[in-house]
Amino acid sequence: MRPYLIRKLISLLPVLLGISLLAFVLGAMTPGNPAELALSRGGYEPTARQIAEMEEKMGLNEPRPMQYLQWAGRVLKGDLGTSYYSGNPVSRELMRRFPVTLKLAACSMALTVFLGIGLGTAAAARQGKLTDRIIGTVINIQLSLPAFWLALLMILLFAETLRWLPTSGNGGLRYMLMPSLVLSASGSAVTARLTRSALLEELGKQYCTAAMARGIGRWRLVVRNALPNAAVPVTAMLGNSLGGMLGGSIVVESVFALPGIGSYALTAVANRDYPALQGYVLLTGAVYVLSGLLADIIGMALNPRIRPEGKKV
Amino acid sequence: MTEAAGRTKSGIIVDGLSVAFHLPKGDVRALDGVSAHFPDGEITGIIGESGCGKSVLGLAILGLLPSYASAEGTIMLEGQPLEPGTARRRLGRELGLIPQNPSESLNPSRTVKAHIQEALLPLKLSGKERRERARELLSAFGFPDPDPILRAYPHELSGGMQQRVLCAVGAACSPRWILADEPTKGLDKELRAQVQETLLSLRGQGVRSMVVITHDLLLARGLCRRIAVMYGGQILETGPRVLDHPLHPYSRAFLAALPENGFQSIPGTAPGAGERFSGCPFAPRCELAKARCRRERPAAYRPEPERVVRCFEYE
Repeated sequence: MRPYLIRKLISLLPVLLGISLLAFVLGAMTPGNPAELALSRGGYEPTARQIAEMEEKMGLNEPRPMQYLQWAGRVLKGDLGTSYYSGNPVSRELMRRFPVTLKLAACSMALTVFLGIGLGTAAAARQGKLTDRIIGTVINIQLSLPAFWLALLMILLFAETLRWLPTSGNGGLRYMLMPSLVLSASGSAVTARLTRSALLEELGKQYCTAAMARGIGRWRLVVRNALPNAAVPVTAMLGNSLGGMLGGSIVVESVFALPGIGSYALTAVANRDYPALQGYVLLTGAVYVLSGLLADIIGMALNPRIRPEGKKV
Repeated sequence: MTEAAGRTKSGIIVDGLSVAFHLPKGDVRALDGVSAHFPDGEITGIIGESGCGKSVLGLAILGLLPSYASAEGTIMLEGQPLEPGTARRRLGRELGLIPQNPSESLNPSRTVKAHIQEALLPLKLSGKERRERARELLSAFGFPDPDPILRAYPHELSGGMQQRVLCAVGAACSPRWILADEPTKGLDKELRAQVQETLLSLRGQGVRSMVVITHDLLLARGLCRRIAVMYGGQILETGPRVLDHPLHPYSRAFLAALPENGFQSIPGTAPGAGERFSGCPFAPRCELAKARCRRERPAAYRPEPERVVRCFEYE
């Protein structure tokens, strides 16, 4: 496994490099002068001299590749620049907000795994029966509902009418329930669908026929025999869906007023706060790449054929 | 039916079994009115070319046909019908399977131990007893040091070892019956001899009777007292000395086509999957065929004791 992991890590380097380049280009393409933008916070109009000084200070007179290297060097030291909007270091603002998004993503991922794999397994175990058809319908509904609409609908029902859950804000798990349900709606539907089809494919294989000849029940066949093998493609897909969750968190965080990096990015867009957006792109890009790696490692753990202890007996 | 007369008969009795697969391009009939008796205490071989329906017959006996198949007719095991609802509880305990293609018949993500312990579930043993029995089984099938094997995953074992593990799994609950599906398929000559020995050693584990589905006539000759010859979804001949003394024209032609018997190929081509015949399925290729053979299906004639031949020659 180790050589595989090292190869994988090396293959991630160009991806990370690409993300950083994209983030840099995003900043470089800023309409207007960054030095002027940095100075003109709060209605203040800087003089030409102040702008020239600032340009010198920010290294804007250097050639672009040099600017990239300087910028990348600062990023590696954890300096993501200063927000045009608030005047605070972007890294500090992101780090303050990141735990909220992380909590939201973790809850949504947990729901995606449990609902997705659970529903998919139930559907495959009862293939062609009523349960399977009901789950199929639920999946289709989940997939066709837009997140913001589902969010509003849930607020209306659970918060306004039934008053079971808080409308919005950050707090305990109660505050996370509705946002993570909304955020995981389409992901868990896709997971359920993939789990079902992967299970049905495994169930058609010879080793499942052989397992049935041991006189075991349907659930044992599906859960103990087919699921560990079906979990390999499902895990890979779950790793990729984390990226979609980070994107989706922009909508969910603004609807439920959660102070995470999604709503931060939305504010940054509204205020043309390019350093903040750059930081957001870098952070989510890195998280996406790392979650793919994590999914790979879990996938390996599930597949004994590429586990490290794979020695011949 | 003539063969499956009494309900009191022991062994496996298949009566008028037809199996059809419902495929998108239409229905394919894999078995066409198969009746057979596999007597208790004997090893019966089912031989025939690929596509003759012998593996489907095996799956039907186990009640493990895929969901897109439908079956008609009855199968009795020791006087009680094997029906889809109740067959599951008897699988493993009364009737064990040794599946074909060892490398595809073991679950790639589970250890040998998980396989054997799952097979032992019906016995409701304690954890310690189960571990003991698993070791015992592996040593009985030629693993003097069972512990590393128990921890191994299927891909860590050779084809012969996988085959022996599957024998241990099939014999776990000491079923009286074992069905072995193409046990030598894809194995080289030395391993084939080994498989024969392994199958015979099943008898030491309480297995009394076996049905061996194979196209390996050497194995059939070495292992089976009784042979059933299948062709086009039907059993054309059964009896004790079929391989030495074939009576049905197809059995004769099939044996003459073997390399050691002179390689005389049978004229014409084997029937395609699901091809249907109003008469004898072999009639289109049979040198002795008369008009009647194409029209009417021959009944089961008994030219010799214990011998059943479906050919008008023996009317």
